[in-house]
Amino acid sequence: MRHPHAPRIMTRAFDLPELTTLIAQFLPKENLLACIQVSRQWHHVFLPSLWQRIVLRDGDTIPTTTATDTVIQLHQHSDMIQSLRMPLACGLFYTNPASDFYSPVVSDILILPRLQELILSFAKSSRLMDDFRGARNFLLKNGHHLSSLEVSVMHEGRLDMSSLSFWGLFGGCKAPDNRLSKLRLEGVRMVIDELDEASRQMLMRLDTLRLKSVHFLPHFSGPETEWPRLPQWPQRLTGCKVKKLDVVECAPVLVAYRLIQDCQELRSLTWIYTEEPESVDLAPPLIQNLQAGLWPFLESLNLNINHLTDFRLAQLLEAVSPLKHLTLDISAFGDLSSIALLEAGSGKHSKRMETLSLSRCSALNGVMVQRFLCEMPHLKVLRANFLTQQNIEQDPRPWVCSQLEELRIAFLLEVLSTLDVRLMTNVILDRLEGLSQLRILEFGKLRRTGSIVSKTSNCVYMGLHLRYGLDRLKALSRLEELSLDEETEQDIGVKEAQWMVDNWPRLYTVRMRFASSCQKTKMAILDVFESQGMKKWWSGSCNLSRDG
Amino acid sequence: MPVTLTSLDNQEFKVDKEVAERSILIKNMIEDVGESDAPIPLPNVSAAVLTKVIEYCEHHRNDPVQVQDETDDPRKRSNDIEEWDMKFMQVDQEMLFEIILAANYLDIKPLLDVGCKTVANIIKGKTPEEIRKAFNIVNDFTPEEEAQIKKENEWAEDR
Repeated sequence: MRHPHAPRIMTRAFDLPELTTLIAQFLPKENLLACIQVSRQWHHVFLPSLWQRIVLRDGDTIPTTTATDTVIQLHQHSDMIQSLRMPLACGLFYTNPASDFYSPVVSDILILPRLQELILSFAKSSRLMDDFRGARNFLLKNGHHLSSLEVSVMHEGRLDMSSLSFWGLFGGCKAPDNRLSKLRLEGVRMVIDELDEASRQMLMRLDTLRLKSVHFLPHFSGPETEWPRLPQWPQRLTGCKVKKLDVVECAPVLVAYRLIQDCQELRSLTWIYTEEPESVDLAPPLIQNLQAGLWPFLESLNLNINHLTDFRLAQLLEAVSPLKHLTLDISAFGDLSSIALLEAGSGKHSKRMETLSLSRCSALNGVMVQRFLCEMPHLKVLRANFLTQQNIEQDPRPWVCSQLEELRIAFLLEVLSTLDVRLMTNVILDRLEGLSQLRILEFGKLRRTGSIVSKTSNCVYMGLHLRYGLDRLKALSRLEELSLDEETEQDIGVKEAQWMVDNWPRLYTVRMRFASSCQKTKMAILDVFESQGMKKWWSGSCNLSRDG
Repeated sequence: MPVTLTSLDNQEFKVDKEVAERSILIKNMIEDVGESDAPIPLPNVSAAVLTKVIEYCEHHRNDPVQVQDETDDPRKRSNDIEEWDMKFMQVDQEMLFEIILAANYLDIKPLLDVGCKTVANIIKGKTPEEIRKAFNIVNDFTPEEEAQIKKENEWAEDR
């Protein structure tokens, strides 16, 4: 017999839309479909969650009856849709394939009054211009309440913006009371000297701006080879409110840099350019601007730019304000940079650093990794790829990073001997005990551009057998992911698997290669993981699977 | 310094300020009133429920403040409930919903999340009929209406 009060309480709980919305966010859509069939009340409260976010499939917009059906569905539920992802292939805005003329009907009838997030991706199509015009009309009607907009052009051909105003696309987002805070653009060509005042104001209000593979163009109708080298932003964006700026492979880099200069309230900057040939060397002005304190609030930096040397990077790290998050994927990180990172300004970075992610860095070695762990008390994430130096000395100082949640270390086996890696690994494994917050532990993943021929003789034996010290990891009670590279052989058996499940109740992912070639043992291990309900959350992308 | 909380049924609870301030509502009240010995009335929460809520706050008194993580995936995981929380939530349904309502009223986000995850886990994978059974809900749809609703909304299921 159920509690007599239960229905009353539940009625109250399920009457509050903020509660049902909270519950719904943990449910996949197939369950939401079941929920709305339960009763009239449940239908009422769960229906908006089912329709809140719609991700259209590629086929939904092909100019056939499916596109018409899509429009009808969206139209019928227009007051519930808050987020919409639309891949465009002419269909939505051009439903009559027999007609040669752009048909404005669809973008005129489709009004989504609660739309907050819109993702438009222009696919390769023969009628890109019609898509563009349709999208422009759609945004004119639906852009007013958007807080997030993403436009990407995945198109090999050219979207010739000179015949239509690029900035005209943003329609309703340009209204003075618009709240657009996030804008992401990818693969577009931006005619920047056509930037109108309303669009400029729209950019000025943004909080987050991500530009990827954006080309800044002058308004110029001649052939590409005769384009003026450096178009200018007509009115500078000085005083722009952008806090998070990503500029990834945008050209010309000098224009991109001027944009970065204008965003002086930046908290987070990602600047990557590796592709543009003959690019100007922008490291010196960047360092000068940093030294002059142009970005006083900067706390997160992800940098990979041409021309950067160890010396310059060191200067840069000395000049920048104390960082919380640093990501570097450049070989320039050498001895000077490491000194700048750990010692500049009496260790100003060490005192604040929460995320440190270093890849391909030439000076990375075991001693340095230990220094990070000994000197950065707030470190939550440490990713150190490519440990290359044969330095396995143990740092006797205590590790201070008691909040560490993620530790990923990769060795380059071509340089290091198997013995080096084993010793280094064990130095670290021996000291993991204090890291009770650790969720992700990864060893030995090799990441490198270009292929690596793996040899079985290179396999590193980690010693995670119960007899040889799996116990060392007992304190990691929050561990969710254990990843050991395929180069790393494990001789774990059923007992070890059971031990892992018993001691790490939150374990979600295990990636490793098992030394045992016995298929029966592998199946038995899999049974252990599955028997603990891991079937639901087990994602073994290693060679421990039913198939292999 | 301890803080006194008074439940709906006029029972008084003495708890550490740090524990009480897990509730943003109480935290704001204390900030507004300033240092004071006066008990804080919580007219929406019964003693039984308040006992549970305090138990939760005691256990999580040292947890770091949650930062809203910005993920691209809006669907959140519900299978990451901590072992202690899972056991804590093993109560009858009336209490489960009372805790959720109290967490909502007292503004204790982590407790509200755990409660909603627990409810979501009950719903997960069930057919409409199984959900009705689980929550003791009367079906007020005709079979035709139910089929119609499914038909009308199937389109959104995998989009």
